[in-house]
Amino acid sequence: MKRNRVSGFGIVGVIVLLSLAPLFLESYYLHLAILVFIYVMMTSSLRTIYISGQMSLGHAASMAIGAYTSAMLAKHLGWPMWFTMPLGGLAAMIVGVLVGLPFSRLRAIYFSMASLFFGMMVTTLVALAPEWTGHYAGLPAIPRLFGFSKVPYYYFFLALVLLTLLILYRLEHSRLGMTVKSVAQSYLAASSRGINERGIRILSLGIGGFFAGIAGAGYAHYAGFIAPESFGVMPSIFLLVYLLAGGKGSFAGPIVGTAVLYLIPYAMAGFEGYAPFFQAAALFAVLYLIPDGIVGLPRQIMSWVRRLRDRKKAEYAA
Amino acid sequence: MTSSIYILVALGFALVFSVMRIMNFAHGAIYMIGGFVAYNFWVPLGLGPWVSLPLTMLTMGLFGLFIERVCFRPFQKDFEKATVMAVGLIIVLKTGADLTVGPLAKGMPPLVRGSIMTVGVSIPADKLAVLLIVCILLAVLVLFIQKSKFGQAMLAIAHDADAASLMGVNIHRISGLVCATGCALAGLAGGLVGSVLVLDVAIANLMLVKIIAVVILAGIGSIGGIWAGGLLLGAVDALGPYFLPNVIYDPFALALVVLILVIRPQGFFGREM
Repeated sequence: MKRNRVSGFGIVGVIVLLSLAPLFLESYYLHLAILVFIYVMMTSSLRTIYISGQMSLGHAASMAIGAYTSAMLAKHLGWPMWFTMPLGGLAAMIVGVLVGLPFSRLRAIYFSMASLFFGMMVTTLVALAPEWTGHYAGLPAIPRLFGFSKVPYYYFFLALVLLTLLILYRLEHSRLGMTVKSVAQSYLAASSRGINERGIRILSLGIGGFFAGIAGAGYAHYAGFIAPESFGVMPSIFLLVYLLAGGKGSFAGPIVGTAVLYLIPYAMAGFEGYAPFFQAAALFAVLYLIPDGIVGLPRQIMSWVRRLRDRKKAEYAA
Repeated sequence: MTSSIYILVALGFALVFSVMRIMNFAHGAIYMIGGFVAYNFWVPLGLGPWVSLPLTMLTMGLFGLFIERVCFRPFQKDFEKATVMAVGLIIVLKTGADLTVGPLAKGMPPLVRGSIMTVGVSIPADKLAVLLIVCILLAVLVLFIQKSKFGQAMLAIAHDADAASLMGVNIHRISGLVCATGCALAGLAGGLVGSVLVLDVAIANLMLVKIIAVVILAGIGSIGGIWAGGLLLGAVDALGPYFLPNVIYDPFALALVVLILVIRPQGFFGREM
């Protein structure tokens, strides 16, 4: 109980700090924060899919669907953004479900391969209707949500990401969440308990897709410009890297992972080209040394310290 | 010619999978790196193709040994971690290429080897040469696998790794050799393609998709099916754009592969994983 209260205060504290940030930070840092918020939404929604036992290598495609849907509707048809954004999320969710119908039959590796292909396929679709999508060069002049200042965007995305995280958290820690995790652990056991394990997986794909779509739509109406490359194979791979490096076992994993790894290139002014090395290094560190990810770092250090101490004790005894 | 290249690279991928049960997603990146390495031997250092290509194979082979030892061996039992490892490798290799070759400096076409033969007017000599080289190499490889002790060991491990080790086969050494061979083949393919088409950082993922498509068509775990899969894919790749406008072809081809994956994951020749 005590731990819950402490971390509860911690979270409230963080939220308060974040809310006050625009008073201290200049526009550039607000911009970074907004990007982090958006990508945290992406990574967390990837986790939603991940905990159902499916490792998706094409998550950025859902972001693309949401982004392009909302952008095209708002730009070409002039529909209000408050309407098109949820539509974008909906579109991504529907595609997620439709794709999930056949894909949920596939086991682990096959699913990853299929999702990789799917991700690639989505980025090639822009060529189908170039006047609408802007082809591979991208879609410019997308209506933006607010004006010039970054501040309203900051609060908008802060609210959005908090809402997303809240929903995802409650979902994961509900009966449904347990069911999803059980499917991941053993679909045979789950289905023998009467759980519709395929349905659960499709559901996860839908939910994950929905929030990715919302994030994508938000991004489109913030940046004002979207291009297929931002949603291709490598971005999908990086999302997975953020998730895994941060810690796939805990809800905070993707949040921490994204916040840390996504900013690495921005922290290396002038040397951004080398940034992926550090991101990959973080991934390798997690693979070899700290399986629980960055989130599990304190615990891992404790276990190392303990192991050292035990070894010392044994030496003295002998 | 395209088919032969696909077969070459896909074979390496399939061999590594058969023996080590690891999906080396980074294989496409290795192919790309091989191409750049070959380029570096060929042009700046001025060695001719006949020296650069074998050198590239050697270099990539050594790299393959390194990968097996450091990257894949610790995670052989854990599929998920191995996949993550491969993903990390992709990032490292691609970034390395981006940095050394430069993201802007796309396509550095090495010399076209117009000096070989001038057959008919309609057949470009360099592509024919590539085809010939690949065919010879594949034939040698097949003979090697079937006749030599290493080859037998490979097949044994692919069939049943534990039984093989009980019979005295050094799994680690053979795995290393297989990985090295796979990388060498991919590297050679990269070098060869570089001489006929252009080299670019982007080809890594493109090739990865093609390889996986071939493996899916052939069936995971089946080596023999790779021939058919590669031929089929090469044919489709060459003829497809004639039948479908380019715009539709890209997503369509990908969707088709996905369809096959969903309907028949074992492919045409494979066995269930």
